[in-house]
Amino acid sequence: MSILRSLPRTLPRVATPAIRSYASAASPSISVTSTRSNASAPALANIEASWKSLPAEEQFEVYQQLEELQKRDWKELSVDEKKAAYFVAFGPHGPRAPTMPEGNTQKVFLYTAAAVAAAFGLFTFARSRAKGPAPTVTREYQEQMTEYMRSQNQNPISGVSSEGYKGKGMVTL
Amino acid sequence: MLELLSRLFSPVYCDAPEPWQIGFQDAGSPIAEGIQNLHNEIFFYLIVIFVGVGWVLGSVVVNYSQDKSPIVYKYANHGTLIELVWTITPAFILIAIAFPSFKLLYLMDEVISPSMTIKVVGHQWYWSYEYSDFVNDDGESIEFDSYMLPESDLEDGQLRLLDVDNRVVVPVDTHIRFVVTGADVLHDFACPSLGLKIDCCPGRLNQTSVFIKREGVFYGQCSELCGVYHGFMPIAIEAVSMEKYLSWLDSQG
Ligand SMILES: [Cu+2]
Repeated sequence: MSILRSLPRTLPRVATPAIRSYASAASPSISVTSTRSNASAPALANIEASWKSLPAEEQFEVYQQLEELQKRDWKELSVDEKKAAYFVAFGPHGPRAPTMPEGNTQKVFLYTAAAVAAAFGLFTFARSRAKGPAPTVTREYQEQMTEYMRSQNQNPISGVSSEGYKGKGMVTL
Repeated sequence: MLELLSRLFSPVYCDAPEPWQIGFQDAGSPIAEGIQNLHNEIFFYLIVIFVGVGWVLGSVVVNYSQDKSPIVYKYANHGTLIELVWTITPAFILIAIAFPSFKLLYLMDEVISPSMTIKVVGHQWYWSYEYSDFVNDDGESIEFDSYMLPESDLEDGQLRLLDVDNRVVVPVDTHIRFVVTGADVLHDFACPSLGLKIDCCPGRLNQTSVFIKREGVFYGQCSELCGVYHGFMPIAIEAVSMEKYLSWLDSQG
């Protein structure tokens, strides 16, 4: 984690994404601006949209500002501040940025469909080379099997030999 | 529709015990009835658990969606009461399941004064049976091997992969003890509709008892992987009336 080494010792070793995305910045000079809740509000409003365009130094400043803010009573934070704090900590940026740009669902669908089709083709090929069904798999033999099972009193409670049985017995064809 | 799918996708053609059967075979012994009752009893708890867990999961999915609750309450990570509830409730459910289960287990385990004993030996890949309580004309106990009927010998609706050349013929309404062992590797003597399943271990005798309540033919299969023909050593137990049983014994002489 080269990024942690480049930061001053005093920073708490929380590897938040804000710090990670800061890695490229060379030896930053950190000035913790003490901000009031109301003063920070405009800067933090709609941080989701502006975050990516911010330079790394400013991202770090926002991060620290939010850290300071959260040391106080959370109930006094404005909605914008809460949203910003949540976005910086858990939002889809840095390592949590989506791996694929939006609008690629079609591609994913096509590749998946191709894989399924290939698997089905392989299955069909294997089935076409397999031995055919056993000689017992004919309608005639299946009817015989049903009679045979009845003669042996099989499944007399709910199955073929039961009273008032409505099913087809062994017949599947 | 289901049939069409089955013909398209089924790599084996099912022809026994009954096509597309998903329930139990009809019970032929008190033990099988007990097993099926226990299954139904436990299913009651399964439904309760399914409804409970489904309700919790569903309400989380519905109430804490991105739209309804965009900010996750990320610091809610401990609640003593809810933890007590979800620890103690499953414990009670497990106890409620365990009691009938153990009751049945110990009932099945007991072999109480059997009227006759049949020795069962599993071989690669056939079964051999010995009726030590009965002797033939030469004074030797009755014994025979039981092989699966090959496909080419099947006739008149005999069941493929289930019918054998020599069935185990036993009387109904009699306490029968099976003493089982294996001659070479592990096998397992099993018959679903009689609630019978017991390992055949080489160098060891296992015993179990069965009390068959109705006449009929009960099929089972070896139930411990024993080699390439493991699937081709079925068990067929034929339960007959006492008179028929005695005349069968005579014919074995
Ligand atoms: Cu086996």
